[in-house]
Amino acid sequence: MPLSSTMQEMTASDGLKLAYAIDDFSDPWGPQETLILIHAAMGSSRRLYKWIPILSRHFRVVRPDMRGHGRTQIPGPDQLSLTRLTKDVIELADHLGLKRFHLAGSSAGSIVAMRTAIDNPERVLTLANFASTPGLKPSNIDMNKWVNGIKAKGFKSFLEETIEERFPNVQDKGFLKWFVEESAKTDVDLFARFGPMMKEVDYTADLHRIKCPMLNVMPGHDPLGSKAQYEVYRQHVPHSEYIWYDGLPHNITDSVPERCAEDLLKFLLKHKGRA
Amino acid sequence: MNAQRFKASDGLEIAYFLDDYTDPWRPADTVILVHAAMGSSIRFYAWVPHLAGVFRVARIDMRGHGATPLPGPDQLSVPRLARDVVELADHLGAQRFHVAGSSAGSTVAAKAAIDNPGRVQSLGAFACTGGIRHGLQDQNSWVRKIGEKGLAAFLRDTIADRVDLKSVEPGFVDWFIAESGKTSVAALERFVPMMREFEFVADLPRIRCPTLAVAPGGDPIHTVEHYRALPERIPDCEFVVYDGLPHNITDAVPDRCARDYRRFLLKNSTTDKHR
Repeated sequence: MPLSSTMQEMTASDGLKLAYAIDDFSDPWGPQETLILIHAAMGSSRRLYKWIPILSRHFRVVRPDMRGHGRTQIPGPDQLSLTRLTKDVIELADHLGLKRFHLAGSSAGSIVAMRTAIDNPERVLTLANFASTPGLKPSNIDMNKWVNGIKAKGFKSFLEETIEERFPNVQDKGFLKWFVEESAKTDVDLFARFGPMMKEVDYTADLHRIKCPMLNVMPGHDPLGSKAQYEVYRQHVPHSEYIWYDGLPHNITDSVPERCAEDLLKFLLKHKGRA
Repeated sequence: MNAQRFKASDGLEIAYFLDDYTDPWRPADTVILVHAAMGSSIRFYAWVPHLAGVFRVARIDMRGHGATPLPGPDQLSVPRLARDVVELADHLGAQRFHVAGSSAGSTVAAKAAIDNPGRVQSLGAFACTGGIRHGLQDQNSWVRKIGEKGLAAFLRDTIADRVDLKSVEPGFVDWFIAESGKTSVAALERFVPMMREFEFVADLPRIRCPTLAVAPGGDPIHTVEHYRALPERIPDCEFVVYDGLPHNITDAVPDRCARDYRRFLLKNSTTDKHR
């Protein structure tokens, strides 16, 4: 079945065409608040489809396709950096006329979300971090191994071989096949730039600048990040909240999407009406 | 999301919205929602997130409403409106489908179920009697008043017949009147008398599919006894009364309606229920 959200398009300040979906079933009267929700590396905003029915009755939900992903164009050699990705978030908000917005991201998408919140404290109402360290430098991801594996075997075979590690908690074969197909749409060369770029990033030292309410939803059994690695926010963003998904590996936003969306909704509703 | 369109068998372009957040790797049942007289499928927005994670949800704009134009003199009748529903299902590739309607839309939905027993899997009948002429008000006098004062003023004068002003959110009434008031007087001058002429109490026993009839219990337009025509004549009909509420339950308490409808649909769908 096709997913139905109509993709829209805007042009970023460097000329790249950015695609995004808007899903909004909130009451049209009264003040409206918007959530920008950023997908993980590989695939696109479609990976977050299951979150929409839970969130969109209360918030307007905007899901961009990150540079090089989904229906957003592949950036040129000088057009891919974390700074540029955060700029895309702000320019999307500007395009939609949003002075302030809620922001959430999954994994690499959360790296973008957190950096956006650090650099634009006046714009971000709340921040929700799903399964991410502050950059991939402080994570256990062996990016060279990933990139070499993908280059050697192609995305599909690489993902098929590693799918059990990603989703030991998922039995649904249809989901696993779909996840591989969806993620394998990613351009190999793009990933070979995107992954290592994220692996260079570590903004732990800037985390203290996050002043807005912050939620961390963390996998409790993730080979890519230990509990200690994921607990860094406790120290630098003392007001931030934690929810641990005990026993689950990295891809919580795909494997237990409804649980993620419901926890996010609870957090957002607590902070609604402060815009 | 933007309206989509298909061409009905008499050539008219019919507008509809399709919302689908179901798992892309498995089949999902199709649900078609038919709005009440005045306004458009937009009046069902709040229902979508309750349903569209499990079902493919199509909302049709009836002829003369929303983005569907008012057709020629021979192109507006209840059987024709019911046929539009079936032709939308054809267009969506749904051999079988669930249909639900609100008020005048429930007349259309019931007619679709009467005429197409092999195709309609279940019927949701919200604020549905076996024909509106049995009501406590003369709807043809509405048309006269609408002609004199305009639709918005008519709705404002009679709003207490439609919604419980003590319980709706501030802002709802203005939105409801603005949205419903978009329908042209020319469309209503044809639509309302046509509905009033249409009588189908005698055909109710021909509805063979499981039916959910939800009735407002404090409706100045129809008594609960009028609404009871459905459970008395439809062989498999669950009857729910919302005590104390006036006519427009599908607008004023949309979440309650959609939750009850979702429960009914899950019981009567072929969609995998283990989710």
